[in-house]
Amino acid sequence: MTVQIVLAIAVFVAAYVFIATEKLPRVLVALGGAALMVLIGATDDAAVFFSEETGIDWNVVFLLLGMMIIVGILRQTGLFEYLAIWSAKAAKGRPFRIMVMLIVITAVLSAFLDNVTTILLVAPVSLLVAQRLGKSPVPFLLAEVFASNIGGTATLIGDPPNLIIGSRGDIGFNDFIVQLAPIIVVLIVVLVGLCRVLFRSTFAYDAGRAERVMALDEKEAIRDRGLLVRSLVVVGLVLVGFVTSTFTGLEPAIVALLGAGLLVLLARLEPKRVFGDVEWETLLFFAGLFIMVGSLVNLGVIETIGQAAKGAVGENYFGASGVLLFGSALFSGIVDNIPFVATLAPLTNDIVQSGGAEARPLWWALALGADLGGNLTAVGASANVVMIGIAKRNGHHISFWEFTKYGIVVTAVTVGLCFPYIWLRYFL
Amino acid sequence: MHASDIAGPLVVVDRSTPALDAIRLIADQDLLGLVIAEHDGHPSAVVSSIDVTRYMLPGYLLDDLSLANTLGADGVEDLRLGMEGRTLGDLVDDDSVAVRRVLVVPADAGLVEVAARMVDARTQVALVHDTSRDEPVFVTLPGLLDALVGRWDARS
Repeated sequence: MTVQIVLAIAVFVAAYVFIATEKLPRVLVALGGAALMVLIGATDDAAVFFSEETGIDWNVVFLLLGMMIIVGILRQTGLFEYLAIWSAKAAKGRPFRIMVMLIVITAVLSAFLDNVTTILLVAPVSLLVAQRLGKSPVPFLLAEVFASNIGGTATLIGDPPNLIIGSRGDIGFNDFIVQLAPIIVVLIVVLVGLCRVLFRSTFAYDAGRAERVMALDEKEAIRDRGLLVRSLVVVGLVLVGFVTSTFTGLEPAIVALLGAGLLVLLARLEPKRVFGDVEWETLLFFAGLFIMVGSLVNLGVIETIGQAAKGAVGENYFGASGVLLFGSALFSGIVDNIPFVATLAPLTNDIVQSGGAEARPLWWALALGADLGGNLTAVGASANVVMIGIAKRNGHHISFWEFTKYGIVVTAVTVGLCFPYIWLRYFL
Repeated sequence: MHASDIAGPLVVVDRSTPALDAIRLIADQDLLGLVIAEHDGHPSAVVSSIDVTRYMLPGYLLDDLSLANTLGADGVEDLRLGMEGRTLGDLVDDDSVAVRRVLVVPADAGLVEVAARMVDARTQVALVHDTSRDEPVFVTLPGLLDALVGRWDARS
C-alpha cells in the first residue's frame, strides 16, 4: 500500500467522520476532502470533470438541479396546500382519515419530489389542520416523514441515493418503478396500519372541531392559476420524458433540464423566484463526494474492496442482498445515506458487472435499505431533521428518542418486509 | 438639545401582562412597541409591535404564507384563541421573537449621539438615565426625528 493510498483513505475516513458527526457543514467537508484528494494526486482535473467512472457524476447533479428548479416554481402555485386541505375536507375532519390522506399524498408527492421539499410543503398545512382539530400535530408530522422516506424510494428521482444508484448502475426511471413501486405501495398500506396502532390516542372525533376543518378554503391557496396550468403541463411532459427515456435516448438529467428550461420560459418569474429553491450547497456536496469516491476508485481501493466483497459473496446473491438490505438500513439510520450510497455504488457495480443478471437485485437491496433506513432515527434523513425543526418552531418539541422509538418500529417492519419481497421476486 | 429634553414617559408593562392585553394596548394607543419591566419595575427590554404581531401568528403561516388565505372567517378567532393564557413573559422567552435589551442613554447625550446609539442598537426606544425624575423616561424614534427636523427648520 503506497503513502498516497494511505493518505487518500485517511482523507476519506476523516471526511466521513465529520459528515456523520455534523461537526462541520457537510458541503465544506466534501469540498475540502475533494481538494485534498487533488492535492495528494489521487485524482486530477481530467478525471474530476470528464471521467464517467471517477469524476463528478453530472447526470446526478443536473438531474437534481433541473428538478429543484421545476419544484421551486411549482410550489409557488399553492397546488400542494390545495391538495392537503382538500384531502382533510374529503376526510370530513375525521383525524384518522385525515392522517391516511396525508400519508398517501406525502408518499406520492415524495416519489416525484425531494423528500425535504415534500416535508416543507406538507408540514405547515398539517400544523394548521391539527390546530383546527385540537390535536397535537406530532403524530401527523411523524406519519408524514415516515411516508416521505418510504414514498421517495419508489422512483429514480424520489430520493438522492436512487439518483446515484440509477446513474452508476445504468438503471432507468421505469426500472425503478417496476422493481420498487410494488413493495412501496405495500409498505404505505402497512404504514397506515402501524400509524393506527402507534398513534391510537390521537383519533377521537369531535364534530365541532371537524366543522372548523371544513371551514378552511382550499381554493384560496391557489395564487396563480395560469402558472399552475403551465407548471402542470411541463411536469406532465417531464414525466412522459422520464418514462420514454429508454426509447428516446434522452438521459433523465437532460429531460429534467429541458423541462426546467421550458418552465422558466413559461413562468416568466424574476430570477430570485425561479432559482430561490435551488440548493446549491447540496449540488456542491454531491460534486465533492463524487470526487472523493472517484479518487478511491482511481487508486484501486474500491476495486480491491470489491474483489474481497466478490470473494465473500461468491454466488450467494440472495445472502448478499440480505446483508446489503439490513446493513444499509442500519447504517443509513445513523449517518447520511448519500455518502454511504456514493461509496457502495461502485462496489455494488463491480459485483453486479461480474455477476450479471443474477446479481442485479443487489441494486434494489441497496436502494431499499438506504432509503427506508432513513426512518430509523431522528438524524437518519434530512427530511426528519427538517420536520423536527418545523415542529420546534411551532412549539412542539420532538426529542431524538421520541422520534426514534417510532422510527425503530417503522423501519424494522418496512425493511423486514422487503427481505421476503426480494426473495420472492428475484430468488424464488 | 439633549436626550433629557425630548424624553417622556411611556407605557411600561411587566412580564405577567397577558399578551392579549398587550396587543390591545398597542392597538388603542398606536404604539410602535412595548417597554417591558422586570418584577422590580425596572425597564429591561423593548419589543416592537411587529414582533408582538409575529408572536401572535402561528409559525406555520410564516413557513407557508399561502395558508393565510385559506383560513376563512375562523382565522381571526384562531389568533385570539392562540394567545389566550399567554403572557408577555412567554413572548420574551420565545426564540422566534426579537426582544432587545432596553438601550440606556445618558441624560446629556446630544441628538446625533442618541440617533447613532439607537441605530446601532436597532431600537426605536431608549431609556434616558435621568436621576432627576422619579419615573423612567424614554426617547422614541419619532420624537428624536421630530426634534432633529425642528432644529433644521429653526436654522433655515
